[in-house]
Amino acid sequence: MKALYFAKIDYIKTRTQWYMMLSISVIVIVIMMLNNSSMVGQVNFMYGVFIAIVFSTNPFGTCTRKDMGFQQLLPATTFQRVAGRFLFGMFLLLTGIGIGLAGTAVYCVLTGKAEFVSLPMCLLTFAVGVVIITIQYMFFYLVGESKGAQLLSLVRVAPSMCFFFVSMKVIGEIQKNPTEALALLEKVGGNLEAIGWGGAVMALIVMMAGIAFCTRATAKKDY
Amino acid sequence: MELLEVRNLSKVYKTFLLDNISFTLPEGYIMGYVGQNGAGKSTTLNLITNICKSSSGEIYVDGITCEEDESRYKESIGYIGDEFYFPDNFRIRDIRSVLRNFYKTFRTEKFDELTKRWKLDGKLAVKDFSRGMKVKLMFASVLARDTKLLVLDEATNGLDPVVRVEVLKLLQEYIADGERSVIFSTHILSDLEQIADYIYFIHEGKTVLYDAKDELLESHLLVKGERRAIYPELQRALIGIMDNAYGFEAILPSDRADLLTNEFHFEKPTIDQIVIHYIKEREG
Repeated sequence: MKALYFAKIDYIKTRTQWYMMLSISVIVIVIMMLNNSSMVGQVNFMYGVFIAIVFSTNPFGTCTRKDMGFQQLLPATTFQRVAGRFLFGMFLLLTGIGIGLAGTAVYCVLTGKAEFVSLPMCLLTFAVGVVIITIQYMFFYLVGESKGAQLLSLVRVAPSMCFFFVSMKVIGEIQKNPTEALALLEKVGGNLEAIGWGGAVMALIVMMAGIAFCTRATAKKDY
Repeated sequence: MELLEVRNLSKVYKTFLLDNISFTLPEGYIMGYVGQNGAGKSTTLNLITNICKSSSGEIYVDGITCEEDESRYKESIGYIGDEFYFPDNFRIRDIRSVLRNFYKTFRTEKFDELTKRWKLDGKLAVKDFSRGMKVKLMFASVLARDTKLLVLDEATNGLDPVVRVEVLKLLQEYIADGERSVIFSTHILSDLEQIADYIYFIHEGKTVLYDAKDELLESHLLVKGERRAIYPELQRALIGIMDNAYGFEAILPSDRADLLTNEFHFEKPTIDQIVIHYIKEREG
């Protein structure tokens, strides 16, 4: 429960940026829908997750030595503090996915076109997002939460940019050769859902390992 | 009963060593923790609050260590620092909500009553509060729950005299029930003169003096006179001889008062004077 309360502290600390993220996501998705491109559902999704990954490191940016001390004073364990930060990242990711889905739904209603957004795709995107966030958080906890601020922009933007360009490249390839993509999908067939769930579970395991690693890394740290 | 017990506490940094600090503070008393900048005051207090981790030694608050029960240990401590520790964009309602979530004994009505009494503006982000308002807010956050030990790290720095007097009054009210204690580091030693029961004096990470304040004042004399009148045995007994326009001034242990001849004047020193002369003695 206390981990959730720490996630709430991160939310309060980054409240303004949270609203900014929502606004940016909505604007980007609207612009993209106006371009009337194909695979709007998938692209919406990527934008939502991309922005969520960028913003998920915000609590580290607002971690001055003094407010790290404040969190240290609260009656809780290091594990709860670290787990709270990871929960915050995960909620942000889910919000990004939610925005992507909502954007697609609005697009479908407004244009009358059907857009394909599958559960396996949601799960795999979530999994990739969780793994990226875990790697970023491990970096910040290892380097030091407040010291990490100097490297914040690089570590914050680089993985999300990679995620974004790779997913756009994949979407582009699918658009270029839809028949091949369809053939591949048929080959994978009913396993796609299992792959999605497997990916999500693996990502959660990676996140748990990340929490354990960060707890160990910060347990003896001074603030 | 001892509310705070510090045993052989050490902390090793690259350029500083807090060396083997030990003391106890009984229930219902205030301890002044004094020393120069960089002496190790904040390090000790940060170790007590567990913001920093010790290299060796043990700290007991109300009979338990932080390792034994981190939540209970931290519940029993209230901390007010020189630096305001709530995040800048928080408002009073955010602080109330966070404290209510984390502290079992947090009383919302008491917190609201204190913030109202001290006219703390709930509409402002705390970064826009004055220094006095920030200190009062930290006090409200601590006094609205059941703590046993109050740790103040230069909390009265930068406060105007009126607010400082209010703070000192609060501290005396805090210990009035005889079940709670305060450890208080400050450079304003006149504050300690008014409220402290014990004094712990630290210099370059090492203990210099530790005693009940009254004992400390009784056991020292402030000696004044002409430099030429100092003879070798007295010279060895005097602590921190400092020259001034009228001769010299130094501290002498009261039990060596027999060394004073009619050529010297002596009087009861203040804590400030004792500290200054001991530092002078240590620095040569």
